[in-house]
Amino acid sequence: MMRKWIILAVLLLVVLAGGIPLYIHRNFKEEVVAGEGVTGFFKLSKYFSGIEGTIADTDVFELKGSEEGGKMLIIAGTHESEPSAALAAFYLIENLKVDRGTVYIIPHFNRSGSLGTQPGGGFPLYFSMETPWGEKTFRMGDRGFQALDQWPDPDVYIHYPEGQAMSYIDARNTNRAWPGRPDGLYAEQVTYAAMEMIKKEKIDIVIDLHEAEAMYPVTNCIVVPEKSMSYATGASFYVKGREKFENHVERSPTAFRGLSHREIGDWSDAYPFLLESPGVHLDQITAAKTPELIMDGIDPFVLKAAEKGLLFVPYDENGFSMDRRVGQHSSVIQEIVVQWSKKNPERGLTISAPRYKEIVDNGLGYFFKDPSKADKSDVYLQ
Amino acid sequence: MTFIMILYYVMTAYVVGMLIWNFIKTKDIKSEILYALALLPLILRLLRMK
Repeated sequence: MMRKWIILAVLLLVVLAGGIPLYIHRNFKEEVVAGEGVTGFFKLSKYFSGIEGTIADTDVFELKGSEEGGKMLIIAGTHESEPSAALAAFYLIENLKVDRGTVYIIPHFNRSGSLGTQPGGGFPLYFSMETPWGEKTFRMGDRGFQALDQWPDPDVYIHYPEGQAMSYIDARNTNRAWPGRPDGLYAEQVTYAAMEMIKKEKIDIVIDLHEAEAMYPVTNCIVVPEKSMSYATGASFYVKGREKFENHVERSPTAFRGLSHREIGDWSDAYPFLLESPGVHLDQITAAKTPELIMDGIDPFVLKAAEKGLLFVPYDENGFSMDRRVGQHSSVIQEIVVQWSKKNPERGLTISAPRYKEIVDNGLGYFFKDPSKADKSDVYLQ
Repeated sequence: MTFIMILYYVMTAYVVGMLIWNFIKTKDIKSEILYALALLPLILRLLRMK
């Protein structure tokens, strides 16, 4: 009998040692300080009450300019294992100035995914960056909804409304669930709510921020359907010519359903753009998945792959840092807006925030405000 | 939480109960360790930790 108690005690210790850090991570709050540009804050459930009070509901920041103009929605955290997206959103919430038009920012579109890491993925629970006022810590997340929140998975995920059969795991993937439906899985309900927002607010531009592996061809690029192509091409040329970084354009496939860059354009009047920056922590061949790897993007095995010509991005011993990835997102977003506003002056936007070079030169942490010194009403917990 | 998800939690609780029952009944140390290991992910799910 004593033996059984010892085994149970060991089991309890393992449950507590393994479970408590996961519980703390799930309840850890990131702090974002609303910048001067933020004029409003509400829940996405404003557009679909079916997600109110559920894990599918999420925060929306509104940045409205003094002059009427077009509208842009920036979605980050579709895949929460791609952290430069959420960091770019936090950065824009704290730094973006909007003179004309309205910008909406959702930092954690897949909130459930932001509350846990990929089982078996070996990712750290947190990563941090240096700022002038100290260390700022963020949660690492998972690609899809947590099974804690959306369970069980179907044997095969059938996309609505096209009926395309996909892997079971994509039932929890918010970038296979567009345009969504009100009575579907949580991943479908949150995309449905966003589609309702896009239609009701008459959003012109939708930006969906991502990261992709350096060994995956659709990386370091802007993925667009036909109607967004000219704007993306203009932005791509500009950042390559003027800001000296590569960001090519990929055409959104018409036969692959559920993706933001396909369905948003097909089911609304908005022009979608999916931005990919290279997150080498996502590559399978890396050494340990450490917080430093997430931040610096420096890995000896990825470098070896680069020497053998196996990567789809320029890569050297300097890696692909978070500063560069967020800097790219900032510049490409702003240049898409410039291209859009040139061709649609009546629906144009005028926005500004530090771009690629300034972020890389100063470090991303330089641009984050100290929550302890900010007015409490400006600090939002994410 | 959807109805089917609630059902899955009930099923998990049932399996946890059966594993604990078998753990108590068995006299073989290997089986005891095996039942304890099998319990681990199910308890983490029931406690909504992972």
